[in-house]
Formats: sequence, structure tokens, C-alpha cells
Amino acid sequence: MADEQKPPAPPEAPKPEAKPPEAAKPAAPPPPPPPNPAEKHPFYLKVKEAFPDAVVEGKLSKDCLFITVKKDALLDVCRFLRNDAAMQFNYLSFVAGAHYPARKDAPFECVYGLYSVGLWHSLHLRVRLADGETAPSVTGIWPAADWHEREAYDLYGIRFDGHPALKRILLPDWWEGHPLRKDYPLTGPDEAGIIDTIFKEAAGDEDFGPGAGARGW
Amino acid sequence: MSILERKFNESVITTTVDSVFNWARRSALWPMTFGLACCAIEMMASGASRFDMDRFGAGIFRATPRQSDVMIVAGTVTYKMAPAIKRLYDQMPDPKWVISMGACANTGGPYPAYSVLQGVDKIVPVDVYIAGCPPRPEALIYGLMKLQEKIDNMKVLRK
Repeated sequence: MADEQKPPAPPEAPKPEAKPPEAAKPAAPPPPPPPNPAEKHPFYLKVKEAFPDAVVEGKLSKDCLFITVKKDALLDVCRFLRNDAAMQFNYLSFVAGAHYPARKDAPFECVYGLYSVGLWHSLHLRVRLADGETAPSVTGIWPAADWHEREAYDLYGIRFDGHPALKRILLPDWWEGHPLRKDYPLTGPDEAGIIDTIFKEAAGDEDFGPGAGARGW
Repeated sequence: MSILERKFNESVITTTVDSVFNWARRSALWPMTFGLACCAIEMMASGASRFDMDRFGAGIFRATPRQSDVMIVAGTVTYKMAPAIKRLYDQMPDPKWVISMGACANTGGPYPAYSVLQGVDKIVPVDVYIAGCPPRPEALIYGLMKLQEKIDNMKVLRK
């Protein structure tokens, strides 16, 4: 409203009190890096004890423990985690791929989410991979890894040694490239070419129809 | 009309071929079951008792393209699904229509992504576009009525 009264002026802020004079600082050496809480985690200690050379790094994020291990030791670590009486990681929640282009020497990563049905605890393993480097398949340890590794292959192009049928799982078989890589164009490749393929696939009966998806198994 | 007026018995009516064909076509539009995403939930609600698309003759969802008249593309069309849509559309008998339901089927909607077809009209001809994300059942029924208006204006024997 036009005739609205202006609010009264705010009372003057009280003057800040004079700061106490700062104590003269001695030239102290930089503090040591804070201790890594992951390195006190019982699971970390246990893995480190069993595989002293395989553990690269431990990280505690909220309640999730991440242990980065060397690729060559992955299968042994996994078998240990599944079979050890105190661990019993008998359930593989997921296998995820990841791409860190800034990390030049090993831009790719696989993350394995483990859970123990029975002991109710979880753990995450990470493996760093160079571009084009293959990871060992854990399908022999947890059969659940089958489709998860196919997904990581489909979207990141990470290949897994020893996988029973490493082929695309989400994208069509004719797809080119791996879309979750950071250098992949967001809106995808040439749309006209894809629509051409769609028309061909809809018209022909070679690679489409009942049972087509199961071919090659 | 006036010449023929009252020349026949009570059970005979005179009309035009267009009116009769169009009336028959628009009054029994059998949709093809084609739910692809969340729009399908609204499409199911439209078919169920509260909204009841059957009041407009379009409540008999068929599970085969051979018995369908209208394809309601309800949801996100991915490149992987697109060949199936194209093929099912080709398998529908003429005359056939397509309703593009929701932002995804219209334009790709919130997914300008590598895996999503940016509008179903790139592979099949669309008669009615329904805006919304997802459109409410009222919107779908309004789109259906718009399609019925379109069918009403079709010419059966003339171009």
C-alpha cells in the first residue's frame, strides 16, 4: 500500500568490544596430517594384516569403509573377505565403475560393495585401473557380479578377465562407445545415424524379435 | 436430404458414409498398451474407474498391435525401445493414430541425453501431443477427445 508506514529505524548496533591483543605466535612447524580414521578400523587392520602389500589406501566416509587394493591381489582379498569367519562378506551389493580423468596414470576404478548377511556389516573395495587395463572378474566368488560387471563394461568400457559373457547389458548391441566416460558427449553421438539404425532394426528380422537378446550366450 | 425425408420406414435412417464411418471409428478407439514410464501410471488411472476412458470408447487396451487403433506412447522413448515402437506401429492396421503423451514422448523432455530419442515423432507420425510431466488423466482424456474431433473430420471416400 502506498500509505504504508515505514518501519522504525533499527536501533544502533552496539559497538564491538575491543579485541584482546593477540598473543605473539611462535613460528611453529606445520601440524602433522590428521590421523586417518580408516586405518584404525578393525576391517582395515584385518585386511592389512592378511595382505600387507596389497592395500593401497583406506578411507572412512561417514560409516563406509573403502579399501583400495592392488589389482593383482583383488581375487585373493575377495576370497578372504568372503571366507573369513569374522568377515563373512557373502553378499555382493554392487560392482560400480568410475572414471577420474584427472588421475592420469589410473583414470578408471571399480568399486565393489560387500555386505554380510548374518553379521550385518559392510565394506567397499576399490581397484584402480589404467585406460584399457582389464580387471579380474569376481563372478567366480559372487555370481551376482555377472550383470554388474556387464554394466561397468557397457557404460565405462572396463573389461573383466574371466567373465562368462561380457557383452552390453543396458544399451543396444549396436551401440558405439561407453557413455559414462567423462569424455563422452552428453547428448550422445550423431542422432541421424542412430535413427537410421532404429529404422533398419524395426524393418529387419535379423537382430530383433523374440529371443534375439539371448543370442550369443 | 429433404427428398428422402419420410420416404422410408421408421427403422431406416439416412446419413453420409463419412458420418457413419467416422462415428464408428471415433467411438471405439482401442488403444495399444504402451506404457514406457511414469506417464503409464496416469494412463492406467485414466482407464480405471475414477476417470474411466471407456466412457469415450477408448478403454479397451489391447496387448497386440493387430487389434489396436491408437498407440498412446506414454513415457520416455529410449533408443533401445525405439525399434520396438516403430515395428509395433507398422504392425497396426489402418486407419491408425498416435497420441504422444507427456514431455518425454513429445520432445525428450528432461532427458537431453545420449540414450533418449528426442521426440517419438522422429520415428512415427503423431496426431495429438499432450503436454505435462506427466499429464493428468483429464489431459489424456482431453487429448483423446481432440483425436476424436480429428477423426470426425476425416473423409472416407474423398481426398
